[in-house]
Amino acid sequence: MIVRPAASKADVAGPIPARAGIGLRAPHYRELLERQPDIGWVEVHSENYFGEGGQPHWFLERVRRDYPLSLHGVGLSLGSADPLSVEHLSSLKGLIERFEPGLVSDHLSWSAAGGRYLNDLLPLPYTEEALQVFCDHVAQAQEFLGRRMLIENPSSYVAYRHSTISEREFLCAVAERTGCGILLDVNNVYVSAMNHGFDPLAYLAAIPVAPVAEIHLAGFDQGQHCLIDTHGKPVAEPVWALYAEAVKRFGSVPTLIEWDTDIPPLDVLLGEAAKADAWSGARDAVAA
Amino acid sequence: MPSLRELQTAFVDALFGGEEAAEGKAFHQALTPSTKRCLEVYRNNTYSNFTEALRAVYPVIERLVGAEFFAHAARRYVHDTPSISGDLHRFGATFPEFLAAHPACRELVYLPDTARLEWLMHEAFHAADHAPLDLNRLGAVPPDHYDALRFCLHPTCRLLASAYPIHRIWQVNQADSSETATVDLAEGDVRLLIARTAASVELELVSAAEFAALDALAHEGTLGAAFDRAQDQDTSFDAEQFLRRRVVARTLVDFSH
Repeated sequence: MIVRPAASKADVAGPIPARAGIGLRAPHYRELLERQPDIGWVEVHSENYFGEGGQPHWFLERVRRDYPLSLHGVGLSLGSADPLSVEHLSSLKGLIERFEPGLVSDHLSWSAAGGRYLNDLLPLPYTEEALQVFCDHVAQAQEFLGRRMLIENPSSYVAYRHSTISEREFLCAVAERTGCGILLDVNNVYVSAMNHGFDPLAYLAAIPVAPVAEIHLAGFDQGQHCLIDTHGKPVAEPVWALYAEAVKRFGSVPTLIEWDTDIPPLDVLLGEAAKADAWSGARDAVAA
Repeated sequence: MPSLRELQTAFVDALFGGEEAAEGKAFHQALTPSTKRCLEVYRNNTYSNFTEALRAVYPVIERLVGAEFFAHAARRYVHDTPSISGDLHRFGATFPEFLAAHPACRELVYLPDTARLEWLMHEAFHAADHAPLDLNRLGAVPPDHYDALRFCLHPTCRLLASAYPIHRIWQVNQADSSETATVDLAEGDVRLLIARTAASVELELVSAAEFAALDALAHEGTLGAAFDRAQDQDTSFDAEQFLRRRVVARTLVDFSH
């Protein structure tokens, strides 16, 4: 028998509000619970809770009582020619049933070939074949999970000669064909725009407003030959400027501050979240 | 134009084949001229993600062999060992066997078992929670029927026997350990119970008789068979006391007839 402490509907916080949240990682569990900072919501990586029990679940259970939660996947590999892993989907479904997240997302990418996983977000060729595979997998995942997913645009460092569609068209087609939402990562738009020489504003302008249900912000690093999406720094100034443009187009959308390498004190993340609220005007809306 | 499957297989081969290998050079043909040189970013990310996963599971091994050798061994292991799950926590289960076969580790005879200990602690950390044994249910069974019961260990319990004092090696190599003591390998063999029955994963040294009993129960043996195995090790083994203590310690959490 597996003990599942009761999480009745009354015990959990509600849907994701249109203000800033933070990516919650293990080093901040305790402090978040003790201080209960005024942030709109938290997001965790789904796969970090694929274990069967113990501390990760214990903490998430408690965090969940106080904050709306979003589950963000990094391992479903929706863009692989391989079939989707039913085991992975089952684990995710179990988490959804237990923690009742407001949003569930994964990436416009792939991470496995022939059963070998790279556990990284690898870029797709933007072709009709890949679009068909990706849409089939999103439809299958949404059917299996019994809910809508959000799909996030990735940062990418290479592009394929045989791509025939732009990334933005590919993403829009996925949303249109599958009914999935879009998780617009503004930092990724900027990083990929710089790496591949497209106009980030034109990218935003091409994304329809209605499906965008979440925005991500993070920091990048300058690599030797391209920008790298490291999630290890404050959000860069040009990304804040692009975020301001995104807010103009998409309105006030739940916005997440992500930080995954060289994780700083919680206050640094809270500061970035407050900044996002200031940029989007969400804080004023909450105060009013 | 490569199919999606061909492209993805070639990508994986190119990453693990290395920059100078034929696979890498052939794959470059699929990339736009201006982005070819950035394939290296994915190669670095891949090795770095898997290496970090290994470092998180095997901190004691890293202290024992040093950061530089660990990074070198990890790179080799990552190259040779496909990850078969989108859940990175599953990666690294066979690292102890890899170390056992590594020529440079031949003199560090205790290394594979220390690595096994770290993997089992990692498993225990993520294993399922479980309520304590229902004493009322056990109380309803007449004591002379106990021998036929099959007890379940807590889902986090793992058993490990080693010819070396690996629990001491583990203790003196904790990041917060103030011990500078050396461990005498002649301290000899140990039998360990690894479990997370409260907040954290704990190591417990158990006797040969108790280990035999727990091992029998873990393999779905009856309590009677477990006691026989324990008595083979130690004729003075106290079965009643064992049962009471292991129920209180939540090592035994359920039973069936």
